[in-house]
Amino acid sequence: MSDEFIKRLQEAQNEEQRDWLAVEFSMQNLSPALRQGVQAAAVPHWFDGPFLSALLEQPDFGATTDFQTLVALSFVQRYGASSYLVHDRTRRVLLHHLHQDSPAQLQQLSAKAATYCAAQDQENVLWRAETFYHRLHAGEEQAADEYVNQGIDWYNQFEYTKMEALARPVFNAIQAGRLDGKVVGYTYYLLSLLQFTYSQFAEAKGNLEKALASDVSGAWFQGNCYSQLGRVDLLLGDYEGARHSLEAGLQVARLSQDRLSEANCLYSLGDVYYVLDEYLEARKAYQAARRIYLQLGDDLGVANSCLALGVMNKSLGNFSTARRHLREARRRYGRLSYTEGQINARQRLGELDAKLGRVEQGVRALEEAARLFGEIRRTYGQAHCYDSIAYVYKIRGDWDHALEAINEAIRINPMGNWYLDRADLFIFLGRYDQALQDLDCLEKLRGDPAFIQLHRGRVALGQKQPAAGLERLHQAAALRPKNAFTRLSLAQGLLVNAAQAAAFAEMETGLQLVHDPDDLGEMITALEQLLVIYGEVPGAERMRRALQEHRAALTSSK
Amino acid sequence: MNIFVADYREQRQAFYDLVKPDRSERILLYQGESGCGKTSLLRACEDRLDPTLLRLQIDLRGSAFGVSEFFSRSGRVLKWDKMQQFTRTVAEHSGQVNIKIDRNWLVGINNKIQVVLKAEDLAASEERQVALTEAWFTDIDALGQIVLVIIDTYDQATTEMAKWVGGPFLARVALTDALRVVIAGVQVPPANNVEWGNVASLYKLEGITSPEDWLPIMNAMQRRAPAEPPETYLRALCDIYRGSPESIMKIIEGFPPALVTP
Repeated sequence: MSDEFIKRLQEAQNEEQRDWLAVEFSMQNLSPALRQGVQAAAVPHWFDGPFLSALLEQPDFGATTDFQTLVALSFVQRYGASSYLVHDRTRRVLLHHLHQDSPAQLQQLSAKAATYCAAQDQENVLWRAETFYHRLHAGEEQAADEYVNQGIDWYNQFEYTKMEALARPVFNAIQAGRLDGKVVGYTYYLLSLLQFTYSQFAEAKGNLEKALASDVSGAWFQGNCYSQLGRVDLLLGDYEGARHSLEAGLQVARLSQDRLSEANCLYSLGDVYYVLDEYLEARKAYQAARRIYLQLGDDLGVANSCLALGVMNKSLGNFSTARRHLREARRRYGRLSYTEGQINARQRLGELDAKLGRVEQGVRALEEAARLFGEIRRTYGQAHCYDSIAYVYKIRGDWDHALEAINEAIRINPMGNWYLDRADLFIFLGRYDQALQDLDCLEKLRGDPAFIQLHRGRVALGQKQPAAGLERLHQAAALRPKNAFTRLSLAQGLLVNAAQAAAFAEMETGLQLVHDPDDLGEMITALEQLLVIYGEVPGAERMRRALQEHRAALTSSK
Repeated sequence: MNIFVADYREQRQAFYDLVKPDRSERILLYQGESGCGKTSLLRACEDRLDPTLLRLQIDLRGSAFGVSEFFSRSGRVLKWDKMQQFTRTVAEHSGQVNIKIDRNWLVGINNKIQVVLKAEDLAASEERQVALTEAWFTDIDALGQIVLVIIDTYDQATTEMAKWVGGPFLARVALTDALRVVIAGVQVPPANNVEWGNVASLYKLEGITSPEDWLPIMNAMQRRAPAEPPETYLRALCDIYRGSPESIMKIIEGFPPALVTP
């Protein structure tokens, strides 16, 4: 067999060339009008008679035999009830050659497609997304900005599927090299928002980095990308990365005098400082955010900042200030009719009541908050209330009730962080195997690695493996150097490993980080438990006394 | 376009077997490169199905097809009056606990489903999705007959849809006697899933590489190979395109018309 076509196919360098040869071969017997029709049909994602007629500027094309021949071609598929599409593989190669060989023609066809789509039902997401797709290909000046605004609008309305329908075809066109400029950065940004929503944090981070490296230079865009990157880093456990991104975002926002972005960055920075156990810095950031929100009249921002300040002050042991902020948050949420915020503030006030010794009142408030969260079907909030109840009981050494409450939290929302707190309870109860099971669960849920190490270290100490335990406690303290629990637990680990001097140095550091006397109560219980396991340990009595004295001092200062 | 399917006999048989009653297998996955003939295979198989079989066909190609659209479309196909548990759950989640579900209420159900599934926080939205999914499967169970769901172009599913299909949907399919599912795509949900892998079969569509399978297609398309013998010509095409039906069909289409014998 000898054939010129087969010879050309064999000489083709790659699949793309072979695909193009197949398209050329297939079209060789078609009339020029039909060939033109095929080329035009490849521009939209789908077409029907009127759509193709508009692209060809031949009002009756859809009623011709040429149209019937076209839709009967092997690479044209039926789509939906009355539409068609050119098969992906053929469309890809046709568009590639149109873009490469006749970019002006592709632009013209896209402009016609945009005009046709814009005249269709723009409430229908498919038409709306297709309109933007063609406007971008047509090189319309405002298209990229309007495209990203549409994406953000849909995102803010929680219309994630619509947003994906908008951004994904554009992303494919970018990948195929047909679109460039601002739209590239915008698309990476939109995709990162979606990935953030769907907990695909590593992918979101990658796309935000690409967005920041793109041609989009506006302060608004840069500020948003940095603050979003900060939030992603925070969830990926890269706290230093988060701080760096948010500080960069803050700088951009200040330079461009974008006050809202500035407040948002400050608020997120507050979250980062909080996670990094830098409570004073966190409080400063939340206060600064609140000031700006107040100036801007952003009521929700003010309410959120008040709530954060309430939680922060509670962690710092400033209970009366905490109460004032939490009440203010509740009042403001009420004014906004933001039910979830109101319940949240109620929960925090319940925690505060219990902390101040009004245990029954506090637990009742927490149970009520749980019920209200249940009513609006917010299982995370509901479970969180039970977690708070468990804490109240744990501090009082009422292990059974604590366990009951934490089990309820896990039953309501098994995806939360509650396993960490149950593992902590199991350690106090000496049920180490169960603690390890919970820590395994938490690892799968990507829980905080520092606290997972901390508890694994405590389990090892409890199981009389002091060296292994100490190693993990060192890791935990390295991950969270400003956390009182990691430092004081390390001090106890050092003590049972007969490293007295290091243990007391560590204890001194840890004590500087404690703000809440209850935290010291927990550390005293943990030490006593270790002494039961290890017998008399040199220096133990001195450590116990130091913890008790510091606790008394903190209590009297409140 | 005309639907021609060369070969894929084993894959076609698996499709027909799937809808037989008392089958333990409930999920069929067709995976293959773009142009390998997945959609044509599905359509050819569907054409031979018993017309009374309840079926739901979904093409996820480049669309904004989400979970709410799946539920809406299934209600239209299976009839809302047979989806009582589902409609009641939608009403409950819309805050209409004691409402009578009648024709008037059903007029706006698509919108109601959308509103129920749209929530500020994704966890709440997923939770409602779980409730609606449970109710939907309860209704399917109560139908008392086999329902076939065919999902094409799975690789283009939106994130929401892919998470739902690959997660709670297929997990529940594994426990539902009456439901059978076929999924085709360049990528499909991984068949080694612990929850539903034991009731699933994965078929890879790797093109049709035998010229003997293409000869009848060429004849049906009333074309003749440009060089003799046709088997050798077709074999060369099969080798070059690794049996891709989309490419080979295009080339056959470009062949000269078959000679008409008097």
